[in-house]
Amino acid sequence: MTMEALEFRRLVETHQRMVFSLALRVTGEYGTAEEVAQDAFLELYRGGERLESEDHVRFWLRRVTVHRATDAIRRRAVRPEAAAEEFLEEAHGPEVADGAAMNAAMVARLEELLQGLPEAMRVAVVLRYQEEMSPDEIAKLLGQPVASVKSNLQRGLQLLRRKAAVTMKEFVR
Amino acid sequence: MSDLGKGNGPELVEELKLEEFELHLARAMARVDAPEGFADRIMERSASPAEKVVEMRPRSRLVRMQAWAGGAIAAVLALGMFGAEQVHLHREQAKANQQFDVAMQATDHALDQTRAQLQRAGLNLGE
Repeated sequence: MTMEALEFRRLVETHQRMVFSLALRVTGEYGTAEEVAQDAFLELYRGGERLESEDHVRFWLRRVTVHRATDAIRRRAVRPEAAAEEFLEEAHGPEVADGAAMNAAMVARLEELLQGLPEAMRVAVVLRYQEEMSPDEIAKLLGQPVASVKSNLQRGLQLLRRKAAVTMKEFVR
Repeated sequence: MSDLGKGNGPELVEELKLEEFELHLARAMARVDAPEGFADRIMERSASPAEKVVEMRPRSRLVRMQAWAGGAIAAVLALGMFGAEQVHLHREQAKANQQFDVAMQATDHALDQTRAQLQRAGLNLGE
């Protein structure tokens, strides 16, 4: 027995931004992100009766999305940097308008730099800064030791910051 | 300091403190909207016959292995039972043959005795 269609639609509408954003930032590719996000929701639909609460649904969706997204990257076997341009062109039209106070070009550049991070660091950084999850929560979600998550976060952040310091020299004139 | 769009150029970025950088990062990483029609496309897929077939839950590797193991065990048991039955039949047949041989020997012996007695009595019944 699967969950009712109406309840499923409610869950999709509630969590679609979270799932799609996670998929997009991990894969760096708009089309792949939609595919990953759809697959995650359909997996939820097929196994929905096993989930007990809204928190459980959120946790489950995050975990499945991250796993499907990393699988997609490995299948694609393309360096994520190659897709960064597409990511920037397609994903940031509406977002730039929303973040009026934020420097749009800087957002774009940070996204681009994020796509250049190694997969494990990128996933940790996305979960930390997009989803505002603690290292403990990330560790639980990914099934990794907390120390590994903290290390990935720290190294990812340092790498991003260093790259930003270098690449934004051209940008900040 | 927090506004990178204005200011003194590269030095400004390099001097960003980690906390400020994290703040910028968090703002840059706000969730984005899903593509238009995303929910509709999922609902369509969830209602398609192909998905309904998959609704039966994909079998996990463990379940598949259990199924294989179950099949293998059933086959071994069937072979074992068949083999045991064959051995039993073979033994029964050997036992019956042995009993038949013993009975034949006893009958031959009795006939020989009878024939000898008749010969002593002067009667010859022939072979």
